[in-house]
Amino acid sequence: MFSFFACPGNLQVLMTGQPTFRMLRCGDSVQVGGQFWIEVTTAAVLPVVMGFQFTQYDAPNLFSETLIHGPFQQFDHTHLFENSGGGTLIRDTISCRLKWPYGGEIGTRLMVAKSLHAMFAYRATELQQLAQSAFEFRKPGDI
Amino acid sequence: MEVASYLLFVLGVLGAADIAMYHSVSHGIRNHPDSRAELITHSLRGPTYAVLFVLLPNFSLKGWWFGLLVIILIFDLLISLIDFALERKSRSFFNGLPSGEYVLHTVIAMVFGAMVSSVFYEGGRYFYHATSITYFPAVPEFLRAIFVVMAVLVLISGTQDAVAVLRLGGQPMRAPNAK
Repeated sequence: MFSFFACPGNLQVLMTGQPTFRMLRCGDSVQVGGQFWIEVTTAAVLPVVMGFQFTQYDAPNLFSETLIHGPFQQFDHTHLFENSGGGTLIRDTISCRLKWPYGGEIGTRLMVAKSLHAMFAYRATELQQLAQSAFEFRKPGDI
Repeated sequence: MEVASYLLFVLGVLGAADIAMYHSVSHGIRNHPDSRAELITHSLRGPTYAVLFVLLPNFSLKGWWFGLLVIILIFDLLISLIDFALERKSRSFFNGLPSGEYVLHTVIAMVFGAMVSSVFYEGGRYFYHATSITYFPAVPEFLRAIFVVMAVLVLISGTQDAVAVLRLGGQPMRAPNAK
């Protein structure tokens, strides 16, 4: 599961069913200092470009990225991977705050929090389906 | 110049939406080194529109004062043409302009054309009068008050663009073909 996330381009695979999400640029693998750029369309007409830089990489336990370009004053995201009952439990921890002209703390709570929760719920569902299909198509003897 | 003033107001509102939505929230070009040249054109537009927001709704311009107005409009047209020419490379790292920004620019260009036509239709004959500038309100007081606020805001926006040009000066370009 960690190796799936260690390829930043797979974020687009997870978000295929979300036309509001677009991967603009990314490297082949997660490495500290590496960047990826995404575009998220809000309110149907406003695409928001955000650039992130990887700040932490500890395979197969965690990696983190921080926002380097976009409407947030701060946006830190840590992905934690834990073994759990034969599977992998993924925890996403996000600390974010919009820049004050765009609403600051209040704007973050009112406008961003709900969208983020919805997006990660969608990601979780897609990830489960991907993992399930990968499990079903695995041939006997495959590791 | 009543009609020209109303069209200038519409132009100001559309321009503010363009700056707030697309230049700031969507692409954050004041923090994008590749957009430095585009920001220079935007910084020049600030004082240009501040002058227009004050002159057009408040004064009757005759002779060379009307000529000055025409020069400002030609200057703004040149800024816009250069801006359009620069935008493709300026935003190439973001895969180009958002569709909505293209639409907005087209509408802005049409309103600008209509405003210039109104300026010549309503005031063109004044170019042949003796040179003078007279306080002659063309629109209601509350709208002229809004124009003053808009003049201040567009000056601040232009100054922020100029500051960004200086700040981004030493930073490397993001897209390889951005120069």
